[in-house]
Amino acid sequence: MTTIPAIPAVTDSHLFITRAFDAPREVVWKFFTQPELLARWFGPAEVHVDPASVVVELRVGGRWDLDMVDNASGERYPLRATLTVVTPPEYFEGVTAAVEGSGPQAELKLRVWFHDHGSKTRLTLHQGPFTPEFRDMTGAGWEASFVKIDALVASGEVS
Amino acid sequence: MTSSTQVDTLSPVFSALADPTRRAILMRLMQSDATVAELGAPFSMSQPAVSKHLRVLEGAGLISRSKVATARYSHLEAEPMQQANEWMQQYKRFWNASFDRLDAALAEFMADTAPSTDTSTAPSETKENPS
Repeated sequence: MTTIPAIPAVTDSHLFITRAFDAPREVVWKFFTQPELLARWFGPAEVHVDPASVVVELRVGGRWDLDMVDNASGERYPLRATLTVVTPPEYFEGVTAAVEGSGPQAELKLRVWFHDHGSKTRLTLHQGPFTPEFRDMTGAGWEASFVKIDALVASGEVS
Repeated sequence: MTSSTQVDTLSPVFSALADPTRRAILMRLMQSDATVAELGAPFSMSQPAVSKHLRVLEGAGLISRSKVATARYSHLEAEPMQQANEWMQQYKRFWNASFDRLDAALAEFMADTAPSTDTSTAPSETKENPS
């Protein structure tokens, strides 16, 4: 059994988000790990996910991939991650794959904790390292995405 | 004097420059053309935001974008920056005036503090013998 790491200290170089969802932990976990659900919320308001691009392999070394598509321009924003720790429904950890020719920020680690609060779930997300600008832009992207999860939960179609 | 009928190209340039992320993107593009991912956003959550910045830079004429296969490259365009620089160069004479005043102040300072006669205290020729 994998030990779930303690939540690290907040630093300037890392994004740190903690946020509650009005759904049980198993449901919130599904939003991150079931391709058809992941496709429905990932990305800020001005993009959507190409459902055909989503690949989730829930195991160590498995993929967590998708393409976001800009609603206005059609530009694609690929996400290519490799899962390094998978402990359903409590925790997963991944590293973004080096996109061809990517810069010094290629090695980004993403860690997500799902805390059980009965009918609610608190999620803690830790990601980095970033420069302050990219940390803030990424944080804004997650927050805008999470609003989409709220709407899907409120609609009652996922349980 | 700039004619009022002339198309205002400077405002979009200075507006585009008034953002640290966009200035960082321009600095990066001085080295070479780059895709959104190469501009420091390998995690896609920030790429739409970077794309917005690129559209602002493109609108100001500071970059152009071209497609190579599926990748979209941004390329630095120097012309609008040259116009901005020419505009700012008008301030050069104010800097030169300041430097002239600095010269004068320095000269005055040196004249005040310079010793009028050579009263330099040369060390005594007799050396104390360390026992």
